[in-house]
Amino acid sequence: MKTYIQSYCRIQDGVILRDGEVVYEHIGETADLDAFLTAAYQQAGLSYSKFFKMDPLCRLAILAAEGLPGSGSGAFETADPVQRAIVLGNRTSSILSDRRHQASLDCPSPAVFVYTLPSIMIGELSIRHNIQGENSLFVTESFDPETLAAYADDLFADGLCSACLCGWIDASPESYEALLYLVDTTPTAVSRPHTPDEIRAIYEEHQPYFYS
Amino acid sequence: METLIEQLKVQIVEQLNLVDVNPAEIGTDEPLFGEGLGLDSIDGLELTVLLNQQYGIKVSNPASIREAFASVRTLAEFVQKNAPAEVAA
Amino acid sequence: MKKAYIIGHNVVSPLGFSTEETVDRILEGQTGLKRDTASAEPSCTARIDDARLREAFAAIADPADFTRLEMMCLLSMSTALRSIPEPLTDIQLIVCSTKGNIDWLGAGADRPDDSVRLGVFARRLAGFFGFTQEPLVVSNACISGLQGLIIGARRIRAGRSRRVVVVGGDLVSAFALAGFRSFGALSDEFCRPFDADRKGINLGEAAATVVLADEPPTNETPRFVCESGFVTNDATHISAPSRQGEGLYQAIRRVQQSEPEPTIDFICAHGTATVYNDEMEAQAFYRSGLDQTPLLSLKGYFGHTLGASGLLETIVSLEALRRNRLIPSRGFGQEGTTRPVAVVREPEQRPMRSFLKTSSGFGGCNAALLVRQL
Repeated sequence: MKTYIQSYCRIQDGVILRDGEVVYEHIGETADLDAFLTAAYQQAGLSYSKFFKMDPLCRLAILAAEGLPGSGSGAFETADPVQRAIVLGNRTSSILSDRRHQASLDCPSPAVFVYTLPSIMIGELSIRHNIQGENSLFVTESFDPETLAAYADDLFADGLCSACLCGWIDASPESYEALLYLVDTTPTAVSRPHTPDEIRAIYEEHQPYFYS
Repeated sequence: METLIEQLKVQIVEQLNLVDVNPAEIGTDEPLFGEGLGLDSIDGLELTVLLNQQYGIKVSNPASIREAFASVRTLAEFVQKNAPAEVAA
Repeated sequence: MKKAYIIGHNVVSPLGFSTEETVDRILEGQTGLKRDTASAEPSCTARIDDARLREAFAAIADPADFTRLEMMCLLSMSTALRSIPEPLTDIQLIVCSTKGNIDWLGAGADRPDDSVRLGVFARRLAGFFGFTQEPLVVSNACISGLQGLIIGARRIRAGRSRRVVVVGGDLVSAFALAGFRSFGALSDEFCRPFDADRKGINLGEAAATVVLADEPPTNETPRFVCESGFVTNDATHISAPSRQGEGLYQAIRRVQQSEPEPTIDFICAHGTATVYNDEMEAQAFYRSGLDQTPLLSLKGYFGHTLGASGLLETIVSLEALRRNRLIPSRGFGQEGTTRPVAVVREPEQRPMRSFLKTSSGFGGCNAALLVRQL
């Protein structure tokens, strides 16, 4: 069964690219993740008050997903929510929230603790975009398009989803990055084949913008 | 009491990270949960952390004080009744 | 479609370092939970005896070279892998954990933080046995273990792997205790799944391993297989389950629709003993027509072992199935959910051939898997 990337979003070093076009470029210290996320949210004109309760990893995921589900062939929108899937890869788990929680064990905050699982990204994305189907998060030492592509394709082949939000999202004290893309089985004029090489290509697109 | 009410509004916004809410605009008798301010269960837990940290009130079972969380006014009344130290009235 | 045979398994738990020993203790009425008198805030936890762990691990490697969780997992894998002949190549390893080596987070210079990374942890487990394939690391809150098993079984059934080893593990940690306490989710007494007076979870630790293959072992009868399994999301709240148990219901429904033979002899539920989880699960079981099916939670024996729970509890249920023994749901006294469920109160000998395992977790995830004896 052939699968296709309908649209994608890439975030790194204060730059947000959607389908290869720059949609936001942060002015100011791009390593300040909180400031970047807040400014990008405001520039996007989003109205989602839950955003500010989220930790940076989840805010990064939410920003990366904006506009993706509504794009492409429409398979995501017309799918039964239980046929919408999400497959994410990540390297450092929820390290930012982990360290925050670890530093306050004698007076722990439930709002911090709840974010000490990388799969809460799945929860937040599922709530925002009504994704009720298969969901998984794989932790690898480096960006692994082979694993992500194979797993998502297996879901389609087994009839377990008709649209899948896939990607790689990571945020640590040292760096942050995201690549999120929508996959389904309908080719369009602008869709790309869903293969590890294509995923790697969109990950590496516009590298000159990223200077870390 | 009025000072406590205004103080609580500021503390609620800070503790719950309600970035886009102006404390002065929170209605004193507006519902905190569900509609009104639209707080959820995690916010409820954070409010118990606030009560402990700011007013020394320990709540062992958040569900038992649901009425106290109905609005800022009921919360202020709860704080006045239960805070061990003197509280700005 | 091929069959995913369970050809080996092992648990390393507070009740024993083998599946047989652990289930023997359970059937004797023992629990791994103990009241924790060490800390200022009382709690009940199920911890593995450190000295016993080190002693057992020393038989396979030097404890000084591995973290506590690694020792638990490697010991479990080592025993389970005796069920398959060498060489151990072409094996897909699936590692399941929520927090991995969380006891090393910020622990100081002699415990570098990279051990906290799940990818590093998984590679150490794979490397120990010389597995050549990159391990798949599943981290999806408390469904991790069950999801790992479902993923492994799917690979076998679809002919993508011939042998899969699934290992899951999590620790009782100050990190988790403080966190669940801040949620008001921790009970200071032994937990009471599905009971009217339940007040929250107890934390536990364990490691568990399942070995799956596309062929049954030549000698052993009876044979057990992982049938269909599904994973869903409630998409309503990041820490509270859907009131109608919608996600879990959808997962169970898919299992029922996939199976030509729909009989389920018992349910090993998630049953964490929080007010909301057990209420939600009961809703989902009722909606699935399973309100009369014998149901138990194993959290009263092990506490909540987070990423290990789905695997640990499936293995214990499998052994109970093999012995045709229904394990009582420890901690249950009185019906405590809006939709009543058929909680097992007394141990019972009865012929059984299948069970449904369910798990749910933070982030709204749910998983359901049917295990059958052929």
